[in-house]
Amino acid sequence: MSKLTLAGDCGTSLLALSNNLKVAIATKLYKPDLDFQNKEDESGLKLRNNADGFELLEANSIVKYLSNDFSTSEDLEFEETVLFSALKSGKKDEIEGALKSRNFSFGKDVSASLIILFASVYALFKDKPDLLESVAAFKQFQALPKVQEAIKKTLSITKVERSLPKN
Amino acid sequence: MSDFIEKFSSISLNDIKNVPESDFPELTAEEKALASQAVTYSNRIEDADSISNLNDSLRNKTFIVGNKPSKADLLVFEKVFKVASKWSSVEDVSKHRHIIRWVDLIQNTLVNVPESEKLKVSLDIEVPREIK
Repeated sequence: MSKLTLAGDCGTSLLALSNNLKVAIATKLYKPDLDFQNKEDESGLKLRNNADGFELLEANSIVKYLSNDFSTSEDLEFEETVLFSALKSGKKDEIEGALKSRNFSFGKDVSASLIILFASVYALFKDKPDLLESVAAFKQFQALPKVQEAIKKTLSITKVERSLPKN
Repeated sequence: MSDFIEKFSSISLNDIKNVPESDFPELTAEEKALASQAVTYSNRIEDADSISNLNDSLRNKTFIVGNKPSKADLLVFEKVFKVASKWSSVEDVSKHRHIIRWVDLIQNTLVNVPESEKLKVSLDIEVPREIK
């Protein structure tokens, strides 16, 4: 992985915030020497190995690759469908109930699944810390110093613009 | 890889979830990541950007991860097949040309689709040249 470069998501949406937070946490935890920035000459999120041209453009697969955790779960499917739609459309109020009633099945250790779910829920509900902390695993994870650093970095490079929810 | 295809017993759409990954060649970490990326795109089948990204990711690949088949080919096919069957306009075919080529390969190798239900690939349709 020595020739890896990582360009962040230059967007201004909740989805961009979620994408950047996912890869920021994964790099802090698993590849701390891999810095990433929003580059104007890059079209969007991209992990690239300059040695062989290998590329990934999708945040969840980047997290899985960096953590070497390719397991799947119903929680991940929930993130890739329900949470993704809310991130893309901005209609977060509609999923608040689904989130409150959901029982996530995270293990004791940090996993790709936890990083991905946390980042999306954080992007959607960072203004509602009570909701975020109602999930014990999120509360503990958010308190980790490296996660705090990743949040700080993400917020410094991602400017979310308010927009009307899309139908 | 043609040896693998010859020995592989194509399976029905309904049995895709039951096929073990061990039935396929072992994947490297990079290939697992590409497989994961494609499955994620297919989970977002109603999102135009995700479908566009899936199409682009297949531009230079025979199968989802490159030149070897994997369980991801089955999982993505399961999600994409019905949607792809509705792409008939020149615009749709042009936009999704790499997915259509890949669906045609999978329906004729890994997945057993009844002849009447197969995606019909029109070789006569004139699509605009692709701008990369």
